[in-house]
Amino acid sequence: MPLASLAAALPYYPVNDYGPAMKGMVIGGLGIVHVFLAQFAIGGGMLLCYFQWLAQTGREPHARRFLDGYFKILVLVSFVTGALTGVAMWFTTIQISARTIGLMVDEFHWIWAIEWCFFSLEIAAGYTFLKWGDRLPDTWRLRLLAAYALASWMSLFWINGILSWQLTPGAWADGAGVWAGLFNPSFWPSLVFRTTVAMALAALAAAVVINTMDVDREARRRLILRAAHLLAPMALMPPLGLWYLAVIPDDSRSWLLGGSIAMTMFVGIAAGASVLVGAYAAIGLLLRRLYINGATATLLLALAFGATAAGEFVREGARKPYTVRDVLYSNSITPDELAGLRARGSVVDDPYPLRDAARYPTAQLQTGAKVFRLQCAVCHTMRGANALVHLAGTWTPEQLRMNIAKLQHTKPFMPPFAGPASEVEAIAQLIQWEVAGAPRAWPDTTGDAAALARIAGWLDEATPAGRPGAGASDHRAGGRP
Amino acid sequence: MTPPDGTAVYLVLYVATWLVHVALIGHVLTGTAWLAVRAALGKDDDALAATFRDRLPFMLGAAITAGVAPLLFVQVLYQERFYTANLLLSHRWMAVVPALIVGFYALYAAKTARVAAWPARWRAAVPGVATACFVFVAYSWTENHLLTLRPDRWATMYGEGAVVHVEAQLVPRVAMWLGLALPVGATIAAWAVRDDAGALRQLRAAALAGLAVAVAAGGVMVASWEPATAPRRGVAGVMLWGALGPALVLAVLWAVLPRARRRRLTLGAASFAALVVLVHVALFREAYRWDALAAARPRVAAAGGMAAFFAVFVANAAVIAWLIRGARRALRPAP
Repeated sequence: MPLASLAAALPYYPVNDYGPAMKGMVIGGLGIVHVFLAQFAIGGGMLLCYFQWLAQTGREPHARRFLDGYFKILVLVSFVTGALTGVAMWFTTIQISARTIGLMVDEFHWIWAIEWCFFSLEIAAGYTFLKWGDRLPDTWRLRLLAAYALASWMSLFWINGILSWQLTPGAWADGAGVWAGLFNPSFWPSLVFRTTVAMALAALAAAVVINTMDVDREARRRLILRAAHLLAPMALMPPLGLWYLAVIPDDSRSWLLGGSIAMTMFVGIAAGASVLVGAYAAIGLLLRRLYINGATATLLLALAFGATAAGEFVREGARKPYTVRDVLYSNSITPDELAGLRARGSVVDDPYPLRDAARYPTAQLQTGAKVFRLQCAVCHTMRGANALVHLAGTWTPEQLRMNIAKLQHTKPFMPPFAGPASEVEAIAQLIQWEVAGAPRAWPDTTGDAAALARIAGWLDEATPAGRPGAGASDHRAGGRP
Repeated sequence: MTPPDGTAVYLVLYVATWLVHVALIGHVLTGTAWLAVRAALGKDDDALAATFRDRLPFMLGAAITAGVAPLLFVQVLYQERFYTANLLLSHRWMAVVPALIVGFYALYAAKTARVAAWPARWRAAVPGVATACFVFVAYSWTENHLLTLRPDRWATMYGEGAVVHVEAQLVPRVAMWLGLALPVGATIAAWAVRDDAGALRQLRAAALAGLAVAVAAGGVMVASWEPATAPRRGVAGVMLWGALGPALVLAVLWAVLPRARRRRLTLGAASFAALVVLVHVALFREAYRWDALAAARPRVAAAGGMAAFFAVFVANAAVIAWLIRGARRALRPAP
């Protein structure tokens, strides 16, 4: 395979199959764990600074003991699993959408390098505290913890800019450069929201840790109430959430507010879990100053994990049909490539063979399988999660052809189909063949000129020929032709 | 050999940060293997073993942190090749992450009083598991690296569903790196035990053995180069064999180090020699894949933020130095 073909405008990467799991579940599962641990580390740094201050000013006699124990947990969890799941996020994103992470690296590699500088500072300050903390005067303990906390928050600062850019590139999309992309419209609400989440997670984890301390109940209650102070910023979450909703694209907002019931339910789970945690914090801890035991603290932390998971699902889902708004569709095809792929075909240049070519009785079905692999497999499976046989199995042949040809109008969070009529027909046949139980014999409809002409008409209606990027503007307009 | 347009700064940063990463990983590998062997022999109660046990978790954390930078720059320089190799090796490649997590926690476990109280066999198993994990990661990285240079094999490998890439120079290349890890790791460790002639003698054995393995494996590797992967074998060979001189100097310095009168000076010279060896081998590594390096993509060339990166890099390095120096000075005596 000559390298020249791999350097074409659309790079073809080998696509892996994860069986019944859709790829979003793979990256989502890891991402949620990583975000949870990373935010715990960021809030943990702030909490430790607070407790060091309490200790050195004599306000809380057990603060230092708690601090040293909590810090060891932070190191064991955050420095090891947190850091390595961060590396794993890179590797996993390559597995799921190599072109997306490639674009992000191309555009933001200096920002990532800056983030790495702060990550290095975080690790250096943290390990210095771990090694020498018990032999240092309070001033230096606080300096090290402050450096650790600031550095970990700065990591969030930069990464948050890259992640929020994916949904709201802002002036960057008009050529304004990397800084406009970083400080995009959703940068600040997202940053402040994540900061409040981080503080809340650290406080709830502290409540769990405090319950393991060998001190009397009153001392534990006092420590928990101190830690609960970091839950107070949760009061900002509703206005921050509204701010975020106000700056994201209209169609993305519509998915979250009823346009997509799955997305709306996840918004509800995130908001509901946050309200439960916030209400318990406000009433139980901050107003009535109650003690919470380990079981309750663990339950609250689990609720916070649920809220984080649902929130990340919403953040990822709101980007559809893009991974980078208006620039890269979720299947790694750009709006500008549509016209060329319509004319030439999306899989004719794909150098990677099918691993199960012998399974398909016709060349047309093999083409359909390649189209599925390139254009659909990032979000769908054939028979597992979000399966095509379930979503489209009851459609008539003509429905299949039209719905696929006009995909961005069939479901506005789908990208437009990027291929000629023959490829629409190929994947329509593939779905019917799979629904029929993958029989050994299947008619080849490649020569059905009438069907292909109808499909070509629908394709032109969906994205008029010679209009590169038309799919993008259609989506901005709300997905209606 | 002039770097393609727009790649020079990334190439320099990649090699520089990769060298730091490799040096730290060399130290971790040396220390972990050392602990495993010494524990198996029931001789892990000396100062050198205690030093390794104490510092290895931090050194691995530092190595992984340092490794993030070359991982970023390799994506800038060799994006399509690196991503393709990642995808082809698939879950086999992704296994490096759990392996690192297991190895990391094993290093923390090795420091605990509970593990210290175990019988020698079980005490050795903990760093032994960590060593196996790190060797697996090293093997996987080399496999991935070599696969990036074999686009002629990609489509076939994908079609066969294979997640393992084997070629003649894979094992000798891994052996060369593992061998090189010993003198590099031993040299770093020697600074902590430089007043202990007994510990230096032990490290000397490891350093010289590692150098011998690295030179022998390097020879086998050169003999097994395939034309498809080494269009500039001559240049790469010069880079590699250029490491022999400083390697010989390093061997001599290590030979005399335990009984050297001016031990700090000798150790400083050995450290410099180790650095020169590493630089040579790093340059060989890049020269070998020189033809895989293309001009920077337009988006990369236009990306902003370089000045900010260098400013933040200098500022953060200064803060790190200030924190460590200040904290060290403020230390109270150990109880």
